[in-house]
Amino acid sequence: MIQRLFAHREAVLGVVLVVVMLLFGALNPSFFSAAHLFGVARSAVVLGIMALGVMTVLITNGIDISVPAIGVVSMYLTTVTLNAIEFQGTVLLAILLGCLIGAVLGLVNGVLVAWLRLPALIVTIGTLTLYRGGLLAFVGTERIRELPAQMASFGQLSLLSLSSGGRVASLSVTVLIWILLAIALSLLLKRTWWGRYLYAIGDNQEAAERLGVNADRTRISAFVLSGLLAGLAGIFYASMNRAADPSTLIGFEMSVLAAVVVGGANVTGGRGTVLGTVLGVFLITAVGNSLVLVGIPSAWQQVFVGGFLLIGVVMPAFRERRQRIKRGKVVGD
Amino acid sequence: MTSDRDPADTEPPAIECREISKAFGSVQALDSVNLVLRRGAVHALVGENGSGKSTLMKIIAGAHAPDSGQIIVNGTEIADITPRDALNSGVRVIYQDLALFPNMTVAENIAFEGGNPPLSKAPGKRAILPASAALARLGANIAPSTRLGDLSTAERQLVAIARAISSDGEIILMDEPTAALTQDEIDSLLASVRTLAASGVSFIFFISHKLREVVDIADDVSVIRDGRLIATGPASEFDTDRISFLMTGNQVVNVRRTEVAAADGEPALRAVGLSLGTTFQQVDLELYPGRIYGLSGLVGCGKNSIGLAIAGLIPTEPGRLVLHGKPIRSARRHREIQYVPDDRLTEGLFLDWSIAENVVASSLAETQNRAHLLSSVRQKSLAEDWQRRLSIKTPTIASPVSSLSGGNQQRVLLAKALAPRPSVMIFNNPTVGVDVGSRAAIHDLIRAIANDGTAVLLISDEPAELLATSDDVGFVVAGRLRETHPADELTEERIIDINQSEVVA
Repeated sequence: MIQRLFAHREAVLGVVLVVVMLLFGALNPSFFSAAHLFGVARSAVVLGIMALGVMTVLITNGIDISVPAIGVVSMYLTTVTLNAIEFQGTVLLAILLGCLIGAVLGLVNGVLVAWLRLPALIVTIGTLTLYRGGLLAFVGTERIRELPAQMASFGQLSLLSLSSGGRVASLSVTVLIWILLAIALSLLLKRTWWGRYLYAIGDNQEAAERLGVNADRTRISAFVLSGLLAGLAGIFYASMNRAADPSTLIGFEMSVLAAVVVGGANVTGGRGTVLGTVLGVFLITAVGNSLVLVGIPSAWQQVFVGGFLLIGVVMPAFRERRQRIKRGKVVGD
Repeated sequence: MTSDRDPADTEPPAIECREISKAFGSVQALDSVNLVLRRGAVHALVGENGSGKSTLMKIIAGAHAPDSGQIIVNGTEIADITPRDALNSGVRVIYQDLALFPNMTVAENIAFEGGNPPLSKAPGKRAILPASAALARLGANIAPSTRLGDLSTAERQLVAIARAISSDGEIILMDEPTAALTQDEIDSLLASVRTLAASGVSFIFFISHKLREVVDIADDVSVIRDGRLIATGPASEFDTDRISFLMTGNQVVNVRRTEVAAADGEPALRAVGLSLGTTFQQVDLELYPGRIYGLSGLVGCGKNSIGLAIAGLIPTEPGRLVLHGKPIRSARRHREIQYVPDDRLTEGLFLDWSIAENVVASSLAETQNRAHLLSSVRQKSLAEDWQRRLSIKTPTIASPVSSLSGGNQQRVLLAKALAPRPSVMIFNNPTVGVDVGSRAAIHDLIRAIANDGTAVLLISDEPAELLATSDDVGFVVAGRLRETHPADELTEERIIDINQSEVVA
């Protein structure tokens, strides 16, 4: 139901994505090579998983800037721990550990925001710096190149391999996992009362509380999910890069936020869909990864990220304003 | 839902309130209120802000427990009614803000319920049918798949009613349902309400404005004032004039002051020939310690400006103010003279600051430590002291003033003025926009301030207030202080007469 209402925004986004791809393809035909497209999908995964969580928080009229720091902490701590015990078993343990670390850090965010009624933006700016700083200060600053074997190989697992012109293009398994997660989250948001309550507290918290919704608990659950997904994304990042670097993903929060916002999640709460977010992630990644391909200096990537972020925020505000004028001022008491 | 089986009179009333009383502290918000809501009737409960209307609404909804009295719903008494009891008995409250979700569809709004297990299934398409059914019962032509935010206020209200009845609500309390509607919208709301009432749903409308519609909408009308139900009966017995007379009617006159300090010795403050252009001229008045001087006059007569001039807030032309025998140029720099404005929101308070910060704002000098820096400990204790003295109701003095009710905001304003321990206090309509209970409390406070030896100037538009608090009343007509009478020689009618007659003269 909610999805149908915002079909408009997603359709627009889909069209923009297609136009952008055609444009890049026209400028450089190798854009449409399997290798490049698989590469785009692969590099969308980390952004995409983090965006799912941030979108959930945005629905509740919150915001979570700290996700890249959570991802880095979870990947580095997990790697250090598993290396310390010389663990060579299944990658599932690494994933579990990463999710757990992420969820705990997300819980801290949620508790600060919900119980102490602090503004989410400031809290997560604080924890963004704190989590990363804490990692560098207490755990280590070294880039670790030796991952547990399973963790390193997992990132290279291929779902589908195509060979063309002597090069092998492979689609990473992580892409499939991301898409499955997106579908699962979409179902949760649309079909369960939990999802309905997330939208409700973002839309009109007072009304939700009056009707018996536990707003604090619902809000905290969104931050925990965001942290958990960021932790998972961190493990994927390490696996795909075969290294755990505590100084990576700096400034990544802006890309996540831009993807979510351009995907139709509203910074004033109550709106946001998985489909929109996934499209937003593809748009940001396709543009970011293809600039070099068409001869635009990669420094321009930040211009695009910032531009998308602003467009995403301005569009709904503009629409709201037009509606307000059209409808005339609502008469109060 | 038992509907249209029997004629209305043989069925028990939907709600019967018997002798409901409720006090908040020393304030009697409700005093032995009896109210009968007939099944399938629309009952308008009319009263001004602060009359006790919303207290009664909250008691029926189970949000407040009455001090005494019985609530009988559908013929069975519910002792110690809780919100859950009220809900289970079919009582639904629709507040003015409607508590809807603009970004959800109409169907989702109607199907919304809190307190479900989070991972249980929420109705998606299944919500459309019951929503359509509820809207159809209202005769409302709204598509369930519309986004709520795209609806008008009137349509949203219908959605709120649909939500109430679709969850088996059969007694619906609506707060100011007509306040934000146009006449056409009121007509269509009325049509919907009528349809529902015919199927046995009962309504109470709580109304303080738009009295004209009351008679059209309601089957029965009750008027509440100062916590007492002063009239109730079929709507045919009421018209707009009668309702507004009953609502505002003769205000209860508070006890007058007794044991007043004599007007002798040196006045605390004396104005001699105070003038300001054409606003007011040659005003002579004397404020004595321990006495309250009331200033009456029609709107625009210049009494407010006289107050501001004495407080030093507007400059005056030649004339003199004498404070404790010493001539002063202006009261502006004298903390001994404090002024309490009528518009507390824009002139009196820093709304986003905490209560404590507001209270100490005009007495910061007293909170300095030896190094002449402001001491937070002293500020806190000063603020707590005044919170206690004026019984400002708040969990903590650290919360912003904007979080308080009107009456409590007014107390913060008073605390701010009283904290520097002034010898002259000027009040401008101190109980504007304050509920009945706080009003009496503020009057008590003004009397207490005078009893402590402060000279008080009370500017008021309300004769009853002047009588209840003043020792002398001066009458300002066209910028001149015409005459002064001892308050005990005056009545409300006499005050109105003097003000009116002087205009004619």
